[in-house]
Amino acid sequence: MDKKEPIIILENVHKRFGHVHALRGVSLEVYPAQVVVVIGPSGSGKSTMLRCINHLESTDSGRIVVDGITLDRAKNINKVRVEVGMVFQLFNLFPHLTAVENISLAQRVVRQRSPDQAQEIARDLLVKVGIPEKADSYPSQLSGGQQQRVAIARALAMQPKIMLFDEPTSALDPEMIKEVLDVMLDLAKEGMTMVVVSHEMGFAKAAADRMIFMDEGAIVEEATPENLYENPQHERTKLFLSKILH
Amino acid sequence: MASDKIPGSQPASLAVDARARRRGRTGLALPWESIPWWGVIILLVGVIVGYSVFTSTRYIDALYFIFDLPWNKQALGRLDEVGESGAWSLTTKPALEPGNYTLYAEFQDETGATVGRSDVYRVKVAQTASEVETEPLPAPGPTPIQLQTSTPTIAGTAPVSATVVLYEDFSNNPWRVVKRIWSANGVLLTIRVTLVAFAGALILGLLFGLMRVSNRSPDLTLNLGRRLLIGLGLIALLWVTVPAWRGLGSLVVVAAIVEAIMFLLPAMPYTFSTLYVEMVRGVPMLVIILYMGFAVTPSLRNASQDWATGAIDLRGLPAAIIGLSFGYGAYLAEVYRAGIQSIPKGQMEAARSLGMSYFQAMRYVILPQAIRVVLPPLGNDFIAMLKDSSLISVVALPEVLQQGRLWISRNFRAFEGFNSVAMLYLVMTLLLSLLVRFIERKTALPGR
Repeated sequence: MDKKEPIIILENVHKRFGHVHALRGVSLEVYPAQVVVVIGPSGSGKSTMLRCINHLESTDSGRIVVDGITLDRAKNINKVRVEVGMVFQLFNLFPHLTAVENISLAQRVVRQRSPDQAQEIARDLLVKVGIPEKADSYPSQLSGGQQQRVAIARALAMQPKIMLFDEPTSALDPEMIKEVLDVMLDLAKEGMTMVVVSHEMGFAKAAADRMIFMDEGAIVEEATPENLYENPQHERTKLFLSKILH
Repeated sequence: MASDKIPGSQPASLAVDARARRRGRTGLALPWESIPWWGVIILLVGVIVGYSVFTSTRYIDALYFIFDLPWNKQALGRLDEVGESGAWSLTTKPALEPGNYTLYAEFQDETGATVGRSDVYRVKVAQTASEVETEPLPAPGPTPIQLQTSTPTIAGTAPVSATVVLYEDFSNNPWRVVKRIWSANGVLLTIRVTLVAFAGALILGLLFGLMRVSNRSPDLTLNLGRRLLIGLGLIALLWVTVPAWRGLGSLVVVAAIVEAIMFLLPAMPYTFSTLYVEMVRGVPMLVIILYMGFAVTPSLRNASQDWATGAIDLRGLPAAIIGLSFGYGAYLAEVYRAGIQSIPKGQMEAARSLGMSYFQAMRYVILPQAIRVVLPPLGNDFIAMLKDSSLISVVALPEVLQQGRLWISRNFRAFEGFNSVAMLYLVMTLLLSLLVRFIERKTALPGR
């Protein structure tokens, strides 16, 4: 794909939940193989923006184009979702299926792969995320970090062009954060387009091409990780960083 | 310690307590977990058999009647009060189809007890046999007697003033036995009605449950033009098929109603299912069954009498089953809804984010989990329906209660009759709750 063509375009997106104005005119462009890390206080619209890209939330106005397909309320949503993998804060693994079944279900149902082929891909992905021995375990038998890695493998199994991470490490024990971040770093190195909502500074510095600071439903500041952390321009950014960096 | 004060052997209850403590339980507790489920069944059957055998032969008689026994033979003729000579002669009625039969007569005294039997005749009715009167059959030999009549006569001698019953015995024909059991009254009818009606209610409940969790205020403008266009097509279809509505006034009304429905179509599933649940849940089961049995199905039959396809006659058993399914569908819809809504929202989002459609996500992700949640309440409703199936006796179906009452009206033994009925329901419901527990254990997820 042409490097100059953005793979995700948000144009002046607005979203309201009742009286709450969650997104106030967000515009963003993400290019293929870019890693964008989004930070911001809670309620600033980071997750909402991510969920709008996947159309888990509909927008009130504005335009979202993903991989050349404009998201509207028509039937192209599933087509877009297949190209966009999403990883959730609370993993959202399917508790009635084993790790392998979790990864192969959507391949069979959506990608129409044969059960054998789907299983093979699932086992390969489990090797990739470092837990091949947990293939036949149920989510309740896995640790948080292992569950999140299965969730990443599940999203990868659809061979998405874009991966969205919604605070993937904030529900994890401190010890387990690294194993998930390592998997994400590998992905970034392989050239996956990623939009990550996360406050993990180490990951941002190692992998992010750009960082975005959001507040009150709008993008306040956009910079490289070094510039944002060391030399924030905006008052609000400085205040926020002074609170999370200690 | 208690054992210090009481000399001699250790009390037996201490062993039970020790076992309970090993299982991490304290206090007075029976070790129910150590009794296997089939042990419980044997125990129950033992109690029933013991109860009926050791109290009174009346119970055996009542249970025999409520089970609609025997299942291996069929009465083909009956002769009360054999005369002084003891000679009797009986002709089969109805006529026999071509094939092999085993015929014999049983002699009973005035209490109904068997006091003797005739010879056993094995006969073969020819394909060409007709209903002609013939001489009584000759003495039975080793080979079947070839018959050209489909109404053979058997004669012999019996004790004076006995009752003679002519039976066709089909124990050696498993298919006939299965057919007889399938059509048996009493317990088997109750089981049959409950199984079929519950299967219907499960499907109906799932359908309406899914409608109940659908969007209650969807975007009515989505595909509005296409919907209204389909509405126009429907109006045209009505114009062609129903001449009575061709007047301008009625056409306007019909068009308005059709287009209003098409406009509100996306909101229909929620609205319609809510209407169904609230209305059906608020009407007593007895009323629903009477309604189905005496109002809906008879008028359906009347209305369909002139149709080319023939009258649709759903009176009797189908009406009862439809009534039960219809009534319980409303309860089960709510059970399913609760189950589906108990699954965290993230599950649907995760499935959708993988590209699954709403229905794929329901089918593969939400429902498999929801079913596990709703199993206990479903079992509850299954048992409730088994008990409510006694209501269908009001449309004169010979299920357990009806058979019991029939037996009582013949024997004037209300206690024995109703005790038997109550016991049978109890045994059936207890077995059912065992089954439900078994299914729950089998479908449980590890670590849950």
